[in-house]
Amino acid sequence: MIIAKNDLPGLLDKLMSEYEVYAPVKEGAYSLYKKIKSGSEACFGYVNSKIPPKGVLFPQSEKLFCYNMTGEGAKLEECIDSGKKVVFGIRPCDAKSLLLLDNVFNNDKFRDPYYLTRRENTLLVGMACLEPAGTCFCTSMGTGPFDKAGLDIMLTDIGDAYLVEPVSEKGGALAAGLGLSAAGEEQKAAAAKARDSAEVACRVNIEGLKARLDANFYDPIWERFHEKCLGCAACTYSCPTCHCFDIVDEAVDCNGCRVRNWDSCMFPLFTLHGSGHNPRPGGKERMRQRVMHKFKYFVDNFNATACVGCGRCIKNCPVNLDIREILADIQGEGRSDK
Amino acid sequence: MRMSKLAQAIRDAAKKLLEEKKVDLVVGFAKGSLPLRSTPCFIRKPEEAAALTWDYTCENNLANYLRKREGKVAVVAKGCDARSIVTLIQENQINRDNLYVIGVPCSGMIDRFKVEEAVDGREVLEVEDKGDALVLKGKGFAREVKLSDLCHDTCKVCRHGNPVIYDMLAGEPVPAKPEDTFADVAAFEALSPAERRAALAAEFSRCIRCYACRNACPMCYCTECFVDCSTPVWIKKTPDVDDNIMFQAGRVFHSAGRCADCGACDRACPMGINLRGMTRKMVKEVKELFGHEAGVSLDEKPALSEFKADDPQPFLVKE
Amino acid sequence: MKSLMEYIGVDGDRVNFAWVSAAEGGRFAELVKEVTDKVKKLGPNKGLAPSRETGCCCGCQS
Repeated sequence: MIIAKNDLPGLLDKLMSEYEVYAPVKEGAYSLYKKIKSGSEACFGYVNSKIPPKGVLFPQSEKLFCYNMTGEGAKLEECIDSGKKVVFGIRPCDAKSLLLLDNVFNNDKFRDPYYLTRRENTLLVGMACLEPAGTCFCTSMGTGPFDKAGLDIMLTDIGDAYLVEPVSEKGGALAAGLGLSAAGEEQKAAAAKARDSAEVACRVNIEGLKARLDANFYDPIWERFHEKCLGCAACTYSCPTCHCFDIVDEAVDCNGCRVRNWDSCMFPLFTLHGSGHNPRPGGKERMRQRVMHKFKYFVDNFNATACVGCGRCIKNCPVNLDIREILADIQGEGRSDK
Repeated sequence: MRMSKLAQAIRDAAKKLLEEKKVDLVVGFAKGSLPLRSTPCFIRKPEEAAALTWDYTCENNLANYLRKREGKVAVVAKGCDARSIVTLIQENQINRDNLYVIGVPCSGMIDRFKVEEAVDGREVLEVEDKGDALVLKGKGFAREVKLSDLCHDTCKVCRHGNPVIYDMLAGEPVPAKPEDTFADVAAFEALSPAERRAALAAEFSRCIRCYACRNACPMCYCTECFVDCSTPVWIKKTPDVDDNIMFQAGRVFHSAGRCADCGACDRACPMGINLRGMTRKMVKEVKELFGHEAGVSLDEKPALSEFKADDPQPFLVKE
Repeated sequence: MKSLMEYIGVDGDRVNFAWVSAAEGGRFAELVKEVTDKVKKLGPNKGLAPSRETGCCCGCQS
């Protein structure tokens, strides 16, 4: 199927009558996924959004339930968001990250109703990456600019139109209802050509990385990585796979809400015990944790690497600490000059 | 090239200091992993000194890495770093006797957000240096932009490009600049309270509370930051426009008379929030009330560490 | 501080400073009364951000 670029705002408007539509919106020099109010707000000419769209399913801050004291006792109100949503224009790397997050929020031990309800009610319309950025290393992380994994529909930019390919059953149903015209052979060929010309130049070697991490917890290599790190959360909050959270009560007297907020392993507070003891007292332990969690513990737990190679942590770091250099150093490739 | 000469002077100095064992560590900048980026680096061996570099991308304030250090340390310091160092010495966070300052006169650093805006959010893959202009190149575009148009706003009004303290100076001092008029702060003050609230709300709705601003600031070194404190909860953990603004306001109070207007907070913000709109209000206030500029001289007492009977008190309740 | 509060859009009358000696009990009481009267007259503080959606205590946008 095919849709002309000119018709896209109209199509988004149509979708909005049934769904909450999240799409990249330009914010100055960068773009962010936002709930759009009009189809013309969406802007797809971006390399990668500043903050990943994981927040649509796992918001930076979400109410779990509200409570208040009434004459008859405590009253609880659970906040499950079951609104129907479409994330329009999600990149394949970000879609892949949601498959990874599924492991965390839906496994043998836990089923997170807040995440899962949103997940079940959300359709992912992907946008193939024709021009991956210099910081992208998705192909080294088991995904790629045309990876359809996790998507319901895939769009490919072919100049003045998008080729529309249903991927899942749900995606097929959605696409069928949009009244799109069929794609010709020429247009399919154009998409195939675009696919062949999209190149992810940057490679990161993770072969054998897990085995090295299994053995190097006490390695002196960890002494240096964190040295310039400021200990902020620019990397973890802009990471599509980071999912650590903190649960707090925001309350006045007996009335309030229990809220789940993103948290970051780079903060000292993350592991601070009530006793005052902190098992990860310094930057070294915290940096090691971030790397270990992505490339070892997640592999141990779910047999997958918790990185999709989107490059956001590299771009957003205030001191240009580059995860690719850290991994190369661990691999003994000495890419870093330090 | 002037920049490469400066870089060479820094490398030579660092190598010599380490060889002669005058210092154990040199904190400087190395080439970054992205175009127009450099990265703080820590050099401990003379042969590693070759990694040091200097250009208009060395935007981080290295004073941040100097507090409570063991051993002798040398630091590559531009004007704003040196002012922060002065304040940290006054606050007993740095022992002057153990610090060697390799001062570097600075004519301004490049703002990455301005670069992104100049190329309309596209990715810069290569940069050609034309002296007073840069050609920003990416897939299918090349745009020439004047260096002065890419400069941080901080650098445009900075009068202390030449380090106020140093043990050696790499390169020639940069020419003096006129007094800062705080025109930006005055313009904001001239707005109505409702307009100010609206402008700040728009700005701080983007805050993700990553605390990069706080952590990049050499002056933010409280053992427990007020935003992290849970008894009492001074500020909600949940990002919310009001609390985001109050967080920043709290930070600004805490750095009154200590903030050198280096812009490190502003540069660190991944969301590109204009933090200096707030920090500079306090810089202006301290200058107007007490005639004090932070970190300009080791001999001058910080504004809030000194009391004079005739200190102005326009903030008192009118009776 | 007062100046910064005004700068970020807080009504200046909500922030008050005064010197009171420990020996000036009467003056202290007078000042506190004066200030509380002033603030009461201003009414509850509606927060900094304009047109924020109220109803939820946690500040989330719902």
